[in-house]
Amino acid sequence: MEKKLFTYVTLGLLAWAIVGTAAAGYYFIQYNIYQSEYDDLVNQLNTNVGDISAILEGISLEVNIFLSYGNGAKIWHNNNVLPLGATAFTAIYSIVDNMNYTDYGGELGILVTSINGVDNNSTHGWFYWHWDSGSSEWLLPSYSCAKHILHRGDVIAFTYASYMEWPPPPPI
Amino acid sequence: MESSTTRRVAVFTLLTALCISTQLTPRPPNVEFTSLLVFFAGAFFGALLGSTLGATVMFINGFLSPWGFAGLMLPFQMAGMIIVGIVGGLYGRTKKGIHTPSSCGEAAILGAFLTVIYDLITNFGVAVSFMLLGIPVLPAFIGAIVSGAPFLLIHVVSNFFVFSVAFFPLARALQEFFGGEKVWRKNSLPM
Repeated sequence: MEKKLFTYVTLGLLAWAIVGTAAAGYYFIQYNIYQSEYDDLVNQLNTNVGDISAILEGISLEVNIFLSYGNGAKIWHNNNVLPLGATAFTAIYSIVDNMNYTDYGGELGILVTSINGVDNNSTHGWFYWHWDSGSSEWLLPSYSCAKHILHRGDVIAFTYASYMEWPPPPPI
Repeated sequence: MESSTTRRVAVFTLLTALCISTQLTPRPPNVEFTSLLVFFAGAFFGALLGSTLGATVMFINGFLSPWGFAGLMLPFQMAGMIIVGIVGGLYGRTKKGIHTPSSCGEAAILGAFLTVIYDLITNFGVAVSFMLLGIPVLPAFIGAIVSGAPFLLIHVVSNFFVFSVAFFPLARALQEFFGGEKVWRKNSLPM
């Protein structure tokens, strides 16, 4: 009886050992394959990092943004990187800490009503400007900042000024 | 005795038909009942009939399998199943036609072990095809076993459960149907 039991235990352990060894070998091979593929990928990334920079530059743009709070506080935010197709609205939205706006939809678009706690009121409000490098002057577009699609090297400004003086004074 | 022989022929014929039909039925890879039935045939009809059944089923399977023509694998599959039949015959001889609940564990371990042997043999068949491409014997054999390890695992585990669950009830039923030595003395079958 003991001999019989010993025989079956031995056979079971032998089967287990063979299957376990094969499974371990399989996972070892899989580990090496994936490790090798990972190393290849890292090497490719390291050698092509220049190309990746070029690709990233190809799908983004840089703009300079001027912010004037109307109380003498004036701040330049230069070389802001934005995705292609960004607008003056997304540009200001990306640099300020908090901002309120009203979306009128359709042709009217978005109106900025508050930047960093400075709100529009009955006498003052936020204006956005675009620097025209051709004529070297600030232009006050007659449409929403969300309609103004930016180009590489554009310069825009948001100023807080009185409605009483029209047109409002240029940013600088 | 004539009645017993008739019953044995009838059962063996049924086993053969069942074995071939289940082997040719589409199923998950490496989940099969042929090993059980061949082992069972060996245990009840002797090593010669069991191994003949195994070889025949694998020969037919080699041409009509839903996985396609076995090709170079065919002789190795037949050899593997012949061994299952022979071991079934030896097991039947040790049990002397009397199967008890302990047969569940014995059959499960034997099923798992025979599956490993069968897979080693058929993997050697795969290795032969590698060898024909110029790969040395040992790397070809180890490569075949390692690359087929998930299938080996499925095969062994599924056969362990199939043997442990199905062998004893089948053996018990057939033991009574044939009127095994003890059963024959207790209750003679109505003829």
